[in-house]
Amino acid sequence: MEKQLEKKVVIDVEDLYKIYRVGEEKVRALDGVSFKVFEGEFVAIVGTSGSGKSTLLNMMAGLEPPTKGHISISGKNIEKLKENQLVSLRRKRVGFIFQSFNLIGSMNAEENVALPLMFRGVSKETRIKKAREMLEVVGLSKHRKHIPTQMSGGQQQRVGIARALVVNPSIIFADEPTGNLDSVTTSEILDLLRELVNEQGKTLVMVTHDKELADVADKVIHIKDGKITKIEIKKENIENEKIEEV
Amino acid sequence: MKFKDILGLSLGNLKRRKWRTVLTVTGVFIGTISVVIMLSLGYGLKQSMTEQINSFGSMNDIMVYYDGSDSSMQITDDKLSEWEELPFVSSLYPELVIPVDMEQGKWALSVIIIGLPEDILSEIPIGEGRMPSVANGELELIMGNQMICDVYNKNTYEYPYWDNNQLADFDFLNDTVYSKFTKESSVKVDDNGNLVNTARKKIIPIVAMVEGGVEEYSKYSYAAYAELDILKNYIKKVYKGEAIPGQPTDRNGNPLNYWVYLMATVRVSDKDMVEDAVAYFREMGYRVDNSQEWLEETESMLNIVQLVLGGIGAVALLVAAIGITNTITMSIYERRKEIGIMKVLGCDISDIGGMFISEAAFIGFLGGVVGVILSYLLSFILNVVAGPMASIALEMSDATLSVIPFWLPFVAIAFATMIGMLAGYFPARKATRMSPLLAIRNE
Repeated sequence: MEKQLEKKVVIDVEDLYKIYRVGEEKVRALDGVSFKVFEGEFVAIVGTSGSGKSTLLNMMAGLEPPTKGHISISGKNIEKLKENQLVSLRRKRVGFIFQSFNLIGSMNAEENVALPLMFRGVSKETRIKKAREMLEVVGLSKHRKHIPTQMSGGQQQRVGIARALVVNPSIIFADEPTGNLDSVTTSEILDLLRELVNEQGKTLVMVTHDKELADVADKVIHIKDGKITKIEIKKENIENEKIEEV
Repeated sequence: MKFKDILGLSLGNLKRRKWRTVLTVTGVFIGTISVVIMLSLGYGLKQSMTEQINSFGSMNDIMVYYDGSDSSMQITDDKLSEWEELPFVSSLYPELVIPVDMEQGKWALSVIIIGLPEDILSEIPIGEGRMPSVANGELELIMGNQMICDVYNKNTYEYPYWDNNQLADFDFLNDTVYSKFTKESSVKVDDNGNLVNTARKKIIPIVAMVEGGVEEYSKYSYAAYAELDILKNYIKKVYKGEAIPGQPTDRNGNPLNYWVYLMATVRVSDKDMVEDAVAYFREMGYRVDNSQEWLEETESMLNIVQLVLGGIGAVALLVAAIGITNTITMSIYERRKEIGIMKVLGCDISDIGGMFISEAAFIGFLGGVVGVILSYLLSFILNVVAGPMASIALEMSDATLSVIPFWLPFVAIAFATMIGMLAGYFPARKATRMSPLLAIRNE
């Protein structure tokens, strides 16, 4: 219990709704979702296509506004923030890993990793140095001068991970990070993510449609038709257990 | 984000689409050339006109004319000494105008002798010959450099210069030139009913020619000049109580006992007071001429000409601006995804806008620079090829067709850059409003 109290809530989602209007009909992409993510936790959000999992992730990252409900990131409510405030929040706190890697095609690995630092106004020398460190962490030192088309999918995603890590974010969002990769590379990437959470104490929220992939997480949130159906705490991954009921 | 990095990203994007950038820049430099060249033509015209007006006389001189209608306004020596006391007058002098006929062999011509005070006379630029000496009181003339053109054959009434573009073999300085003044008593009707002047021929020495060739016009080209007081004495003796041409008479047709001048030149002490001086004499009812006034009128007319020329040039630049807007819009659509990624990764919205605006500004800047360089080249070619033709058309000795003032290249580049920024503004704003979700969507 003592350990439990020490844990900080990083993301607090409370009674979240997202309702789209399609013609006359209202589609409830999210239908009253509440959960908490603690510091240093690896959370997987699992659901089928159209379940609302991606919408949830987008809203946590401030890319889409909710229809109703509250989201707080590190204690700060974000649902009312303006776009430039959200951008600023992402720049300071958040790393993002994409399914299709989304590297800038005209830049080499090093420059891609350094990009978020450029947005922060870091000098070229410093940001390239940091980018090299990050590429070393993801095991891509040899490929730092390669442009995206010269790299495999797995390598590109490592660059993507390095880019998310380079700003030293408190939260990393990963949207189907292995969706475009083969099974061998997938497990490599998942191991890397797991390692980051264990060793660097990052908070990671990953969206996936594959329940097996979710096994690597500490907490798995199952979502269906915009509602949370189950929150699983994986005992093998986390020492201090807590059962949450839905 | 650092300004340097924004510029770096913009430049990188322009380099990525080299061909498109080159085409858009081409549009801008054509626009810049058209504006710069059009304006330079206006400046060339202005400069040529100003030079021409300056050649007519000093800006500080105003010419006051008496039109002969109201005798109380006659310009007399008394009136001149009154005017001399005016605060803005630094000096003034009258012009006495006396007509005379000259002859040499078969050649004849009518000449206006203008009497000027000695100090003004000495301002006349002398070519061949010497200044008339004043000390001995002898009447001596300086002959205008274009007077030779008015020489005609007194038997055939042919003008060699005007009719055949030849110069009469009449040497004012070395031939003996006879002068005849027209008097009432000397004009007789001959047997055929023609008027003839029977006045005695006199020899008035011509001691100098006004500087300049037969084609070089100046305000001294078309008259003969003599010292005022000597001329007055001479004329008094010639006419001996008879009416002098150009001088008014009393009711009985007898000459007055004072001189009346048709014109006086008033030299104003301060250039800024010229306008007031002009107004002063005009108020009194005199006709007044002043180069500065003329220059101002000409300038305001030329400013309109220049505005029209610049406007025509600006149309090309406007088309180029639309080209920039098009290019940037294309570029934004192509990079929708990239913009989204940048937003997700925390790139400030104003930085995204700045990136596209600086891309547009750079296109404008590059077009401006290339345009200015090519404008200088074109201006040079214009002056060499078309300059001589323009000189003939404008009746000037050497007209410069295209003049680029030193500040124009800087203004042109700045303007082209600004046009670029303006053209990039709306597409850039569109870019900042694009949803970051475009980045996440997997296509």
